[in-house]
Formats: sequence, C-alpha cells, structure tokens
Amino acid sequence: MTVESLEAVGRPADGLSLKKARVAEMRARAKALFDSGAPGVAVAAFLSEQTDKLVVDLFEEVLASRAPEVREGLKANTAIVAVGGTGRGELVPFSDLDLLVLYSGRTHSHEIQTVVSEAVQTYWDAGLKLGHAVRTIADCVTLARSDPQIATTLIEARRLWGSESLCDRLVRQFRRKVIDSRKRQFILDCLNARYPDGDDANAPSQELEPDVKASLGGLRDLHLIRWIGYAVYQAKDIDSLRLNGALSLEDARRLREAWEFLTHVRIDLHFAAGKAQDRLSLVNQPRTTEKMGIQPTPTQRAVEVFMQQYFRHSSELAQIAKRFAAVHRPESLYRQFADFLVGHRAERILRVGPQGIDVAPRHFPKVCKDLESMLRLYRAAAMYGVKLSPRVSEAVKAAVPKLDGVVPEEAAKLFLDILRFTRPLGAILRGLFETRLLDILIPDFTHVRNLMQFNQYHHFTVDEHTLRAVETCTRFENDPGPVGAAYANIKHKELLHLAIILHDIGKGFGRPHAEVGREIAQRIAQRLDLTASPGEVVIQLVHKHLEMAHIAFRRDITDPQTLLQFTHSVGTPDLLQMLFVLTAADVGAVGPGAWTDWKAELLNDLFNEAMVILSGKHYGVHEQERLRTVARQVDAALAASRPESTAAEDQRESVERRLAAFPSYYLTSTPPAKIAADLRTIDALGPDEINVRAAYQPDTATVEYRIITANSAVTQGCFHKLAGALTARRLEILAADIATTTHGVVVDAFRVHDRDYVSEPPPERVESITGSLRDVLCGRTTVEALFLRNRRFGADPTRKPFSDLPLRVLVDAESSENRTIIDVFAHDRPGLLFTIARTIFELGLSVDLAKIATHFDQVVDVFYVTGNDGRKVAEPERVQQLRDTLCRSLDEFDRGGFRNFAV
Amino acid sequence: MKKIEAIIRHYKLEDVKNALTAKGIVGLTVSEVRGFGRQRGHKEQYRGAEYTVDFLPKVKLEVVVNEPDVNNAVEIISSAARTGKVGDGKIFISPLEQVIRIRTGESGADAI
Repeated sequence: MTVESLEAVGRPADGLSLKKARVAEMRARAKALFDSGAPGVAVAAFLSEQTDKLVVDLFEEVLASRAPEVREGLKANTAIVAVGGTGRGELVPFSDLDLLVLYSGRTHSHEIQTVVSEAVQTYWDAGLKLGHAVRTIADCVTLARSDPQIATTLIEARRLWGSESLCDRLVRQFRRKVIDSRKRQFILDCLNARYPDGDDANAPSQELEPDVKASLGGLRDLHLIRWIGYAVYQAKDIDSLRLNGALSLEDARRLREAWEFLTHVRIDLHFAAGKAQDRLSLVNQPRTTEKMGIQPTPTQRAVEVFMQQYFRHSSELAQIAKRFAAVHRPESLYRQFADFLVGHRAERILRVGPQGIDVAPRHFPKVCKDLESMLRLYRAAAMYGVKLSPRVSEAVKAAVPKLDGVVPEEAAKLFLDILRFTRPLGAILRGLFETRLLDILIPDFTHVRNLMQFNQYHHFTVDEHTLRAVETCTRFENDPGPVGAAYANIKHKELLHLAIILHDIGKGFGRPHAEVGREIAQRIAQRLDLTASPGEVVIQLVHKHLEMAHIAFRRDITDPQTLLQFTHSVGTPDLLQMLFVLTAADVGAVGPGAWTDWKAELLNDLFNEAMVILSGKHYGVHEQERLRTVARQVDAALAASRPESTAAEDQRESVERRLAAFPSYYLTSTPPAKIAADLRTIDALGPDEINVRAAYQPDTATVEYRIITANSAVTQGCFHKLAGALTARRLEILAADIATTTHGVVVDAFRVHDRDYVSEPPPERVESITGSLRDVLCGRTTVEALFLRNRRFGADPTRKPFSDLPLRVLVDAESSENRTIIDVFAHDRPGLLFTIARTIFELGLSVDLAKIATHFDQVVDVFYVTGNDGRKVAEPERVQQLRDTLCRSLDEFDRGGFRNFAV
Repeated sequence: MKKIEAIIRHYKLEDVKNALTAKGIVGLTVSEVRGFGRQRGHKEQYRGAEYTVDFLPKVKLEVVVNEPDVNNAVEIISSAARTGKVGDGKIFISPLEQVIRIRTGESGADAI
C-alpha cells in the first residue's frame, strides 16, 4: 500500500502505518526486481539505497519534534554512520541494520540519548530491525582496539546523516590508531574473527546445509578480503584490490561471480522465509533450485546440479580467501628469524623451514617446469612433514594448466612414493587437490569435485569425503586398537591409500559406483604403471569397498554361508586387512558421529572371524600373552605325569622352550591337554618312528587321526600322501591341521568321517587305516595303488554341488613374513585335498602349516608354503605360475578328474 | 495409544522394518544400542584378551500404535525378528499419554 492509496481510501494517514507501509513497499519493490531477474547485487544495492533514505527520513521526522536550536546543535555535532553490512552498501531484505550514532564530546549526551531512543523505537515499529550504538570517536577507537568484531564493522563506516567532519575524523582516527599503529595485530584480529579455530581448521567448505554468510566459503570470506585489503592496501573493493596487485585477474573474476551467486541465494532465502534466514537448509535447496531455473542432467538431479554450483563458488571463495589471508598473515619477527636459522637448502633450491617448503621466486620456472619436478616438491614436503609455502603453491597452480596430461613413468613412481607416507599424506593430498595436480594424475577426480550426495547420511561432498578418508586412515597409525594393528601390518600402504582416493570416484554416473569405480581403477592402475598384482589389489579394494561394511552391519556373521561368501570374495588375509582399514576410514569420514563403538565392534568381529578362515590364525593383538597362558596350561597338564623329583621351575622353562619350536597357530588352536599329549609322544619318539593315534569324537561322529613323526625321509611330501591315503580308504576329510616344528617334527591332524560306519568304527578298521597311512609314508605302497585296491563298484561320482560359489585360488605373498599363503575355495569332492596337496608338492613347495575346513559343500583351504630354500615364494612370476598351475589342476579335477577318485 | 519398544538383533532391522511397513505401520524410530539379557553376552575374546563382554550391539525400535493394533504389531515384530537362538531380544509395551504432530498441531490418534 502506498501513501497515496491510503489517502485515497480516506483514512487519516496514520504515522505508524505509513511507515510500515513504506518499509513493506520497499521490500515489495525489491522482490519485484529480484523476481524479474535482476542480479542479486543490484537488488542488494537497491535495498541499501532505499533503506538509507528511509533511515534518514525517519530520523528527521523525530528531529522535527525538537526545538530548532537542538536540531541545529545535533546536526553539527552528531552523525549517523552506517557500519558493518549496512555500511558496505549491500543489504538483504530482512537482515539487521547496523547503525552507529557518533557524537562529539561537546554535545549534551542526554539530548542524544532521548532522540536516539525515539528514533530507534520508530525504526523498530516500522519493521526495520537494527543494532545501534551511541559513541564518541574515542569510545570507538578504544573498543575497536580491544574487540575485533567492532573493529571490522567500523572498517565499513559510511556517513548517512549529520556532520561530515565528524565522520571524517572517525575514519582518520580509526585508520591511524586502530590499523596503522598496530597493523600486525589488526590483521591477526581480523583473521581470528573469521577463523576462530585457526585458518588451517579442518572445517570443510562444503557442509550439508551451509550458512550462506558465516560458513567457510560464505560471504564472510569476501568481507575478510575487504578488511585485510583495507589494512594493507587502503582499498576495500575487488577492483581496487586488483589494481593494486593484491588479487589476480582470475581471482577477481571468481570473487565477483561467487559474490553474485551467494548474494542471490541469500536474498532468495530471505524472501522465501519472510525473515532473516541465512542457512541453505535441505528443505530450501530444492526450492531455490527451482527458482533459479536450474535443470537436471541425465545423471544428476536439479538440486544436485545447483548444490554443485554452490559448492564450486563457495570452495573457490574459501580458497582465495585462505590464500589471501596466508599471504598477508604477518609473521612474527621471532618466527622469521627461526625460519632463517632452521631452514636449510635441500636440493640447493628448496628451502625447508617450519612454514613449509619454500623456493625463491626466480627458481619458480625450474621447479614447476614439468610434472616430475612439481611432484618432487610435494615429495620433499612429505619427507619433511610440512606443506608447500603459499607462494610456491600459487606457482604450481599457475603451472598446472600448461601440462599436457601425460603421466611419464618417473612421475607415476614419484606419486606412488608420496603415497607411501602416512602422517603428512592428508595435507599433501589436499595440496595436490587444490593446485589441481591431482587431476593430472587422476583425471577422473575432476568429476567428483564438489559433487554432492544429496542425503542426510553423507555430510560432505565426494571430494571432501575422499580427502577426509585418507586423513582418517593415516591417523590410524596412532590407534592402539585392532584397526591400528591391522594398519601397521600392511606392507604396501600406498596401495591402500590409492584405493581410498579412488573408492568413491565412480559416484555420479547413475550406475552402482563400486562397478564404475572398478573400471576407473583399472584405467588408473595402467596410467600409474602399476603392474598386475599390486594393480589388482587396488582394483579389488575399490570394487569391494562396500562389502565389509554391508556384511558387518546388516548381516548375521554367525551364519556360515554369509561368512563364507564374504571370505570367498575377499580371498587373502592381505586384502582383508586392507579392506578392514579402508572400511573403518570410509565410515569415519562420512560425517561426525558416523563411526561409533557400536560399529567398530561389529566390524572388528567380522574381521576376526574372516581372518581365522583366511589365514587359519586368530588375529590376536596380544599374541604373546596367549602363548604364555598356553605354556602354563600345558605345563600343568604335563606335571600330572611328571616324576616327583624334577624341579617345577625348570620344567616350565623347558616347556616354554619346547613350545617355542611350534608355530603359534598350532599353540592357539590345539587344546593344552592335547599339546601335552603330543609333547609326551615326541619325547618317546624313535628316530624312524611314525606315530599314528586315532581318536573317535562321538559328538561329531568323526575320527581324528594324529600323525607325528620326525623321520626326515618321510616328512617330505607327507601331507599329500596322507591326504591321498585317507581319501583312498573312503574317508571324507572334513578338517586338517598341519604343523611343522623348527626341529623338523611333523604334527598332522586329520578329522575324518568314515563313510562305511554310522557310529564308532571298530578297532580293526582303525588299525587297517593306520597301517595304510604308515605304508604310504614309508613308501611301501602308493596312493594310486590304494585307490585301485579300494575302488567300489557302482560308486556315483556325479554329486551335484549345493552352493554356486566359483572356484578361487589366491596367493598372498604379503601377509606372512617367511611363508606364502595359498587360499583355495572349491567344491568339496573326494580327492580334492589330495589333488591340491599333490600339485603343491609337485611344484617343489613344502607345506608348513595348513588348515582345511569344510562348510556345507564348500572347502576353504589355507596352506602356508615355502620353496626349496625354506623361504617364501614372492617373485611375481613364480606367484603367478603357482596360481595358474593350481587353477589348471583344479579345473581338470572339476571337469572330470574327480572320477578317478570315485570311491 | 501405546508405545512399543523392541530390542532386536542388528541384522534383523531390515526384515522388521519391511514387515511393519508392509502392514501399514509406519513411523519408526531406530537407535543403535548395546545390551545383554540373561545369558550376559557370550563372547570369549575381545582385543586379544579373554574375558566376557557383557554388552552386545543391538538395535532399538520404537513405534506408537493405537490400542487395538498393539497385538498385531507385536506379532509382526516378533516373527520378523525371531531366529530361535539366544539373543533374539525383547519387546516392551507402555501406555502413552499424548502424541502431537509438530507441523500441524494434531494430537491423539490423528497424530499417529
């Protein structure tokens, strides 16, 4: 309603409603402007202009009621000064006004107070919200020196009404006393006001629901540039700063774009809420998207496109502001001196100080001439655990667009080198990310910049999440728990780190991102010159990065099928360890509170269970203690049958020494009573003797055959012979534990099911089997002969398997120090174990330790093997050969070879 | 109106949720909790040391229904969450004084 229309209606022009109407009209006109497509900054300028007039008019109305002398006196000795956002000349529809009423000491302060109170009341009644203060110049200066907030609002001081000379004096005194005489402190105050947690804070510039003004990358960052600019260059606006050389052309352009975009969004938020609202909440995002007319793309919703644009602007703004701040951040004299002392010249060009790697500007072309040189800078930074100094980063950033996108071998090696570091890796990667060097190495990373995941669960954009995941991972170095232990055990951490960088890179294509990620990982592995085996590790990790979390949190891991499928998919202990750490890092980087003890426990459980299956060993963090406990228990068991005279102390020590000769796996998985029995057997063992004991276990209806021998002629290849003999005698091998002591004593335990007998087999049967075992070990007969002799008529070899998990043979040369671990997943069939064992024997390998287990009709076999020299097989070609031979042999078996074993 | 609180196995959440929503019971609150019942947990090893861990990870489900629907809801939750083994969980039913929908101000049965 306008003044005219009110009068036309015939109502007396009531003062208050007129004022309200004026304010409402102003906002309505602004809205009309905005809706018609005017740029945000133009609307803000319009509002500012109109509000200025309104403020002055209303104030003059109040003054009109005073005596003329009072009026004149006030006009000469006071001023109304717009400060803060109001002073900047940009207003959003419902933000508070910031006014300062300045008066000189000579004015009667009582007069001022009453006039101001009345005026403020009028403003409030009219619908203008404001904050105001009544001060002398001296007051302002004193307060500004002690409170950074007040200081920064005063930078924007602009006269609205009243004495010009008073205003000028304010500006000059402010300049002299608050800024010039304490410039260092002033700049630090500005920085502290903007970054209360320090400007290397981990807060991302991409929150789920950003505050357009206050979040990192919000409008406050622009203000920061103004404040520092004013302090250093006496210029506040972007153009003047550019002319002064403080901002590059490119930066100035980006700032202006960000300013426009953010202001536009802010105005929209205010109009939509009808009040001050700066937070771009999830509810508002789709609405703003629609208002701005943003369209969806084939792979992204409209709101995601909008938020990606938003984050692009806000992260650029945040970066420019941070760099601006870093460049102008005053160094304490002491620090500069220390820097000089501590800094030393690395590679004769690089200077390494507490601030970071620095280079004299005349060397910039040299250190930035190609990809390798720039990567060397980052590697040096990683080595010294520092960052690159701001000006070197700038130089790198400027040089990156000139690169041709080819990654030479040397560069790939340097990058992988960098990825081997742990503690400094997070910061280094951020540096590579900000200068866009990362995009040269991994072009697919460009796609996930600022890519938003529009749901409550993911707190960060994909790029931010990825960088955080790496940081979370490297922090596990100091973790005392199971994740830390697993991380410490990983030998090729660079593969894990690379997998983390790539794990979500497949997002935003509309297809399941683990699949897309695998394809991308394949390409990147090639690009970075990763050979087959390490490359495969990275690809597998990326492809399977969701599995462990899914199984741990959503499935029942006490169900053997679930566990089996998982271990089948993972395949080796080495990969399992890496997947464990990757999962923990991924969940931890999703957002605050995503990683809880609740989740940690479930994930740890799955890790332990899977580790037992894949490596046969319990992943004890306190292995030593357990061993000592076992030694004590064995000693106790032995004491029962020991002669009285021998001293208990010595006995226990000798027990410990003897147990040290056994593999730890044997000690932790065999009951102490049995260990004691084994020790006694070994004590009484003759040099050529092959000791065979059989024990029936009624609750499982199985028989355990325990073979212990120290006869070196026999121990060679005894595993496959035993397996063959048992199978030939129609025994189904359900489980086997093979152990070899350091003295060459073999302890092989086979748990078998005797197909011919429903309950305990009679002694003759056991005798006969035992005889066959001895015969075959001594060479008196062969496995083939046993098969021939024991073949039955009409045996059916074609039993169809229940589960459909495919055959897998995996070789892990990383997890164990001196043995190669072979994991086999296959359908259970008579003769399978014998086939595997014989193949291993024929390859010239000896089995030190084995754990065979059958789950339904799936066999999971773990073998720890060594070569002829007693050491593990590690060369990639031999590992490959091992895998291929085993696969071939199992394939033949599967396809028809099993018929030979039809019993 | 009654409030139903169910403590169930963590991997049964999907099943229970689907069973409830299939029968038109929506409006669930879920929290990750830890607990134990009469058997006081059953784990033997934790972080390499051997001792009994009392608190196992569970999920707590809360849903509000009108009185006539209580038995039905309980039946749905029970059958979806049951495995027959120790650790299946428990359901608690308590009377509810009032329910209000914040957005509209509706109360009582209309707000469920």
